Parts: sequence; C-alpha cells; structure tokens
Amino acid sequence: MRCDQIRPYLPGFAGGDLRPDTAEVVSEHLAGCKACSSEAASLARVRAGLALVAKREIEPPAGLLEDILERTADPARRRVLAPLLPIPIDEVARLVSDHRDTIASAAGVAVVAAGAAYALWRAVRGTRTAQPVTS
Amino acid sequence: MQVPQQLVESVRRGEPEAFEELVRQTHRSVYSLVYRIVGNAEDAADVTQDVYLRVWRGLRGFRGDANFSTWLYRVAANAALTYVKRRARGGVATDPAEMPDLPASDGTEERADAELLERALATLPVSQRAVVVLKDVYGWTCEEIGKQMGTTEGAVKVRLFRARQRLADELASAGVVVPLKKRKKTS
Repeated sequence: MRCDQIRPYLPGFAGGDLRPDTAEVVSEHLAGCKACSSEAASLARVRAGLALVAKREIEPPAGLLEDILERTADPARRRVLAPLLPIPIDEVARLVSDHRDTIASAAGVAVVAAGAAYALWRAVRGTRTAQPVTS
Repeated sequence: MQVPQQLVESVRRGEPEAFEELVRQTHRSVYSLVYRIVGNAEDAADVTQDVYLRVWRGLRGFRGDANFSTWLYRVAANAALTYVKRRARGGVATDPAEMPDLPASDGTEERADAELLERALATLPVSQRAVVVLKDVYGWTCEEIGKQMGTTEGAVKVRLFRARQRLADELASAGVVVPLKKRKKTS
C-alpha cells in the first residue's frame, strides 16, 4: 500500500486501536518505509507521554478542599431550607441542571397546550355567544 | 490514586471523619481529571465540588465489587462531560491560554514530553480532548468512552486519532519529534 493510504491509520496503530488485520497491513508497510516509521515513532512518543500525564497532579485552587468539605459537611442541614422536598436541595439543583433540555421541552409543550386550550375555549365561547336567538 | 478499602467502608457507614479523609486523599486526582476535560481552573473547581456531592450521596449505592478509584473517576468524568456538554450549548468558551501550576519536570525526556503534552491538551477542541484524556491518560476503552459520551465507538476513534495527530504536531512544533506530513483533509 502507498504511504498516503497508510498514514491515516498511524494514530490508531500507535495506540493499538486497529483491528488485527489492519494493524498487520500497517506493520508490514512500516517495516519497509522509513518516512512512515518515523511518523509512527512520533505518535508512539505522544502515547508514551500521555501515559505519564496521569501520574502528574494539577494543583487545585486554594480553598477547594475546604469548599468541598463545607458543602458535604452536613447534607441534612440543607434539607431545612426545603423541608417539603423528599430529596436534598442540592439534588434538586443537580437534577434540574442535568435535565435542563428535557425540562425546557416539557415547559414548551405545556405552554403550547395551554395556548391551544385557551384558543379552543375562546372559539367555543364565541360560537355560543354568536348563536342566533330563536323564538 | 488508591483508596484503602477500610476507608471506603468507613465512609459507607456514614462516618463524617472518614469522608473528610477520603476527600483529602483524592481531591487532587479528581480535580486533575476534571481539569483535563473541562480545560479551566474555575470550572474544574466547581465540577470537582459537584463530584463529591454525588459521591456523598452515591456511596451507599456503591457496590464493593468494583474498584472504588475506578468508580470515583467514573463519577468525575461523568460530571465533567455533563458540564462540557452544557457549556457547549451555552456557548461558554474555554481559555486555552490559562494553564494550571504544573509540577516541574525532573528533566527526563518522557517527563518533559508529559509536561509539553499537558499544555498541548488544553489547545484541543473539547470533544477531542475529553476522548484522548480518558483513553490515553486514564486508560478507558473506546467503548466505555462512547457510552459515557452518548456516541458510537467509531466516532470516539475518529476524535481520538485526530487528537493524537494534533498532539504529535504540537510536539513537532516544539522540535521534539519529526513533523507529520499534512493530509489533504484535516479536521
């Protein structure tokens, strides 16, 4: 196969993410192609470097630990703010946040339904008032 | 990140001191994962707080047959991915120029690469960054990532390969590796 056909597979080859038969074709090409081998080596180096990234810890902002401990210190205390809710207020906030689209869609449907009901009511009412009085 | 089983059991029994200890032992690792996905410090801090609220509430449901660290990372990744999805809809941009305080390299070639790559990760589009972080940094499978992101394994691989290519380009522009040949069609 030609180099331009092999190159798109090199990032997958570097991570062992190709099907075995595809990996074999790439491997055979690399054995006889210096340019592609060199690119494969670059990508392998990326993989090796990324594996080490996990061992590095990023320093969190000052006060994060305290903030977490404060928020998780007494979940029962937060229930006082919403005594009628069966679940903590944070859980409500999280559910609303995670399902924002669904809630917005449901609200939209409710508004349209209410509008349609109102229009229907007006139409029915209008029909009744417009009926001619017969004696 | 390894969390002693005894500590996990103490937390599941509802001992507040144990939960505090758990947070102390794990919050840096969790913050690091979240930061690598969301791409900025302020959002990463907010999401990390959310992770521990989820952990606090979910620990009783945590079955001891799974590794606790794996479960914690899963909760963290889920919270971070939910956040970036929401942010994408809201149009809030990441700030690739912002970089956290990273530990200094000890001078070895691999560690220097890791430092360079950590910075390069911040420049990737979020969909590529999330995939390459979960796969190549934290060792998830493409199938797991697809499930977590609500996409197919094939779509995950496409993003993953593009991300690796871009990261190799970053190393090349730093003179660390030979440049990859430019393809006719790029992402």
